[in-house]
Parts: sequence; C-alpha cells; structure tokens
Amino acid sequence: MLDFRLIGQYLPDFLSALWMTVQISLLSGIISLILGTVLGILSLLEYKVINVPIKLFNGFIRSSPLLVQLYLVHYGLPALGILLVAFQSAIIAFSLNTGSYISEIVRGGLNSIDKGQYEASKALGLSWNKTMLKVILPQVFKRILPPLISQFSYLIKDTSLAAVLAIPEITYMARSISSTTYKPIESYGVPMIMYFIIYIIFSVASKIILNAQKRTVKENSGNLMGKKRAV
Amino acid sequence: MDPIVKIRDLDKSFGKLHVLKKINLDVFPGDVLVLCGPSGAGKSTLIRCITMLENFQSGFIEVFNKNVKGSKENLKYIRKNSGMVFQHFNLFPHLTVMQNVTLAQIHSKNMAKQEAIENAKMQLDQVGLSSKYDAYPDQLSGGQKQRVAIARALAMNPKIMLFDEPTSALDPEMIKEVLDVMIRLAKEGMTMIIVTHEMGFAREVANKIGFLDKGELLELSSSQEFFTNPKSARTKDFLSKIL
Repeated sequence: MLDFRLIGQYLPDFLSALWMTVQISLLSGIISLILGTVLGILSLLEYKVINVPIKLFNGFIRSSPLLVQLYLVHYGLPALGILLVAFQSAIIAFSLNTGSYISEIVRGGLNSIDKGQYEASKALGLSWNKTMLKVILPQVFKRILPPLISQFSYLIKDTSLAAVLAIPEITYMARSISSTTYKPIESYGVPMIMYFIIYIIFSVASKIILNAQKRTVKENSGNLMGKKRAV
Repeated sequence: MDPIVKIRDLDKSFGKLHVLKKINLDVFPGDVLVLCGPSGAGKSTLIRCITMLENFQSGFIEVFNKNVKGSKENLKYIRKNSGMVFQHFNLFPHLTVMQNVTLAQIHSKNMAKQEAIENAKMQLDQVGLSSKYDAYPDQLSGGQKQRVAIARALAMNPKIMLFDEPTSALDPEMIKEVLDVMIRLAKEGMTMIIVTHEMGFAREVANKIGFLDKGELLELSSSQEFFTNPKSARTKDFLSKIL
C-alpha cells in the first residue's frame, strides 16, 4: 500500500522542488521567447553573415540531445573561463534549446505575413522598429500561439534533465528521496502528479487564451452578419 | 512653380524584363494625373517608384524637391508627406478602424494620441465611416476597407496622394463609393496621381492623363486632348477598345 505518512513527511521537500521546476521553466521560457523572436527576425534579414551562423546553431540544437547540450554548457563554458552554477547552466541550455525551436516558429510566422503590410507601413513613414513592434509582430504572435504553447509544454517536461546537474527540482528530489527511503512508487508517484498538475494548469491557461482569441474573431464575423442584414 | 514630383529618365528592369523606359514626368501642385494603359505596362511600378516602394536602376525622382535616393531623412520626409492607397487596401487586420488611422499619426508623426483620434474621426466622417470606428477590417466590405485606407493616408495630412488601382479589387457596386471620395478630394485641390482603368472617372477628374505601354510613357497630355485628339496610334487603338 501507499505510504501516505512518507509522502506527508517529504511534502515540503517536494513543494520546494516544484517551485524550482516552475522557476526554471518560467525563466527559460521568457528568455527563449526573446531569443527565439530575435533570431527569427534576424534570419529573415537576408545577410549571410547572420544567416549562416543561425542555420548552423539551429542545426546543432536540433540534431543533438538536450542532455548533451546541458553537459556542454555546464562543463564546456567553465573550460572557456565562464564559471557557472548549475542553475545558470540549466537556464542557458534550456533557453538556447527552446529558443532555437521558437526561432523557427517565429520565422514561419513572419513569412506568413503579407508583404503589403510592410509596404503600407513604409508608405506611412513608420520606422522599421515601429513596423515590427506595432504591425508585424502582433499579427505573428496571434498566428503562432498554438505552436508556441506546445513548445513550452515540452520545455516544462525537459526541465527534468536539470536533475543530472544536481539541481533540486522535482525529478532530482524524487530520485534522492527514492534512494534514501527505498519507496520508489511514492517517490516517483508524487512527481508524476505534480507534473500532471502543472500540465493541467498550463493547458487550461492556454485554452483560455486561445478561446479568447477565437471569441473575438467570432464576435467580429457575427457583427458583420448582423450589420449586413440591417443594411 | 516647382513640380511636386519630378521624374527624369527613369529606367527600371526586373532582371531581363525592362519595365520602365526613360520616363519623364512632372506633377505640379493641384494636378490630378491619371496613368492608364494595358496591364503590364508599368503603371503600378511607376507610381511605386515615387516613394521608393520599388527601387530603380537609373534616372532620378524628386519629390518636394528632395531626391528619393538622397538620404534616409529625405525618404522619410517624402513618405510622411505623401499618402499611398493600394489595390488590396493593406489595412492592419489586428487593429480597429480607429487604430488603423491613428497608428502612423502617433508613431510616425509623433502626434499626441487625443489629437490623432480627433483627426481620425474627422477623416473617417468625411469618407462616411463614422459608425465603424471600432470595427475590425475583416468586418468591412471592400469599399469600406478602401475608404478606411484613404482616411488613413489623409490623416497624415499629405501634400500628394498616390492611388495604385484603388478600385481594381472591388465589386462593381462598391467602386462608386470609393471614386466619389476621390472626386471630392480632387475638387478640394489635392494633388493626386492615380493608376486606374476607370476611364469615365479619369475624364471627370483628371487634368492630365498619361498613357503607358510596354514601359514607355507614350502620351502625356491634358485630359481633353487625350480623349479627343490623342497623338500616338497606340493610344488611339487603346481608346477605341475601351470607350
């Protein structure tokens, strides 16, 4: 039978581990979104000096396991004189990895915008920065929201790899509790439930965002029909 | 009087395709110039070169006495002071009608938001869209969209308006509502260059008509002369087919 006393005893440890997972996910999520957006925009500007390195970077990230990338950051960068604590290494590795995938999503989104949008902005005298900020990117993010959400849900699960750097997040905590208590079902069962809860919260939040978007579209077309009939 | 737009020996190719051949053109304040001609003649390319939406290889264009290829500041000044209306409207779909009209006033002309809104209301009322401030572009008909696009350009208080086939993407019954707005503008003395196939409209508002074919400006004359006494045989042939 499940040992609920054990779960109760280790609950504070699990909760602090949960908080660590949330921190890593949030920080990496925000950084990767910024990185991916910048890379996505840069890769659209047709400069070879920029494009080739970005393509190489994306190629390496996509072809290699995240675990290897994590080791490379954590043990490779200090060899180059950049000293990192495990938490920083994890954030860097996850941000680079997810950022790379997001850059491709953003690039696809940018490609889907009609060139007339750029022309109208130019004709109105808007600067390139304002064009991006006020005209192009708002449309891009509206379109790429679903793939972005699924990318972030991968990120949350991937943070479990931080366990190999002894960062006390959910998976690491589970392993260490399991090895001291010899109760693997309780030790790994609680993390399963925690990941499940994170997943539920995240997917409900995503659905609310996506539905809010759909509703504005629906209301718009509803109005149109109403007004057409009135005419 | 200095011309607002001065084009000299303008030459442009897309690869091997020679789309504009040695174009010379002056547009003076108050002129309403209609550019017509068969599809692929280079009319749209020509009007798009004026604000450098399209680059060109040789010759020069001056707008407001500033070379369009002179400097970034020149080009910015030219674009801020000229309005452009496109065939496919190019409204910003994520913004309301009001936001479409105020965006460039605020972020390109650095106008205060309240002032921009007041101005936008005035422009939208003038094109008959006072009930559509909060609508999104996809809730509007084609004619309404194009009128928003015109209001958006006018809100920048331009010294010249460029129209690139403004009615070609519209249903026949919506063409008139857009042309009416343009006729009013012409009567108010706005300097305009219009690429269009609407020859009845051209006859009504244009004081000058240019006829292009295969990249050449074959004819540039007053409206009356163009319709009654065209010089080139190609123009006569064109007119006989469309009138």
